[in-house]
Amino acid sequence: MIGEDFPAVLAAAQRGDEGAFTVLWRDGNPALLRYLKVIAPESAEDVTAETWVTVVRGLDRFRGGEDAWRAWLFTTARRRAVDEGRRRSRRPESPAAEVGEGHWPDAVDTADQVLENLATRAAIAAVASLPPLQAEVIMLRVVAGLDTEAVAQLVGRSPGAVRVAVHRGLRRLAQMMTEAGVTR
Amino acid sequence: MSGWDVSDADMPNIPGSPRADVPELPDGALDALLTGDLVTDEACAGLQPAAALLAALNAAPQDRELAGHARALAEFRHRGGRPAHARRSARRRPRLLTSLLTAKAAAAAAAAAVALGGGVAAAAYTRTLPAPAQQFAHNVIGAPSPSPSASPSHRPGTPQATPARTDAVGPDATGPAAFGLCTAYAHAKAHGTASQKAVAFRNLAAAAGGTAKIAAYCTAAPHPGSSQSSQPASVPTHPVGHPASHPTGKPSSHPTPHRTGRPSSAPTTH
Repeated sequence: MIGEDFPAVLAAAQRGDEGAFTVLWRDGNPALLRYLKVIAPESAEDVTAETWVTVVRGLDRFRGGEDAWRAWLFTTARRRAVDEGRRRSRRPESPAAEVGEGHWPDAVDTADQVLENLATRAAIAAVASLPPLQAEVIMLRVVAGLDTEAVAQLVGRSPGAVRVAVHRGLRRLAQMMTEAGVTR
Repeated sequence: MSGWDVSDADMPNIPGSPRADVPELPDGALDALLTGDLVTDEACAGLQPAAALLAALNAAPQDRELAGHARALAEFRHRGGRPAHARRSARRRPRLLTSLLTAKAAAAAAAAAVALGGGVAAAAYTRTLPAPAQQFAHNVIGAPSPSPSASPSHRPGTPQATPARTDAVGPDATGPAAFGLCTAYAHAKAHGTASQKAVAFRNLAAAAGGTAKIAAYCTAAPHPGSSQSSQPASVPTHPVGHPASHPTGKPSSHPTPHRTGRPSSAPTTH
């Protein structure tokens, strides 16, 4: 999150300031990549780059605060992921089970070791193992930082459905952590 | 719509648990998990172990997650078919650079640079960041200030990428005075009253030759005592090669010594 400087940073970027654009990019890119690793794992890097192409082209026309900015970023990312999914002739809503790398550790010695090994990649893989809606809404709430209303609009569900899906997903994640020996 | 429209396909992960057993998660409960607070809501009992996983989801960026910057920046430069600097000159309002951001943002950026394991910090030390970002890094972590030829925007063979900076040099306003005015404004913006900000901004605008020239002015301002301070703050006629082969130090050994900008010691033109 950029915070109180966001309006100035956005305005500078819209006027062509590369440093300001870099601030926006550095703030958004890691979150975009992590989100796309869950909903489009085989093409996350490409879709992230395509997302920025779209965002850059629409940058001058964007109006709004940081919440709206992030909602726009992730809406764009989702659309690009859907496009990519169509190109690959498969349903973009069902890639979560295909994550091949960063498997959840199944043999664990101690809780400390689990925490130590709990790299971001493993956490993403754990989320990606959830049913698609749960995985996506958790990424949008946690990593994209969107509120429930924004997530609901983005995924085309009701806010209530989003809250239930988040709850279900978190329960499963907590269960995974407990089974892996993490009690904290 | 109700809260009951989750399709069956989304709920098979807890075998045997009826739908009613999983109520909506209050937004506050997720916030508590994300901030490391204990979740007190009874409906959310048992979620606490997920907190560490959520923290890992939000961990600091890794180098590979920042690898696409050059590609994105290239796209940014050529949006609408025009180089970015051509767009800038057509704009009226003053530009606010990263070097003029608040101390809070500066500290956050510095922390992020450190957390990156040195990737960005190393880039700053090898002067491979864009000029405003380089100036920012220079002010925050003591990296070398940007020389006009050091930015990726100034690749050899692409002369149009050199910002039109020659008109930004005010009378007697290069060197330490320029640096002082720029840092004084940054400091006032972060810590000062509204009138202090206004005064600092006015001084800066006067020195730069107009509000529209502040950004270029501060980008060109050399840090006192740096190796750049003896160079004129104007555009070089011979862009030099990529400087990545000249690391000059360890970023981790540099906390944020320059962040407050020392406005009291800044020379002023008034």
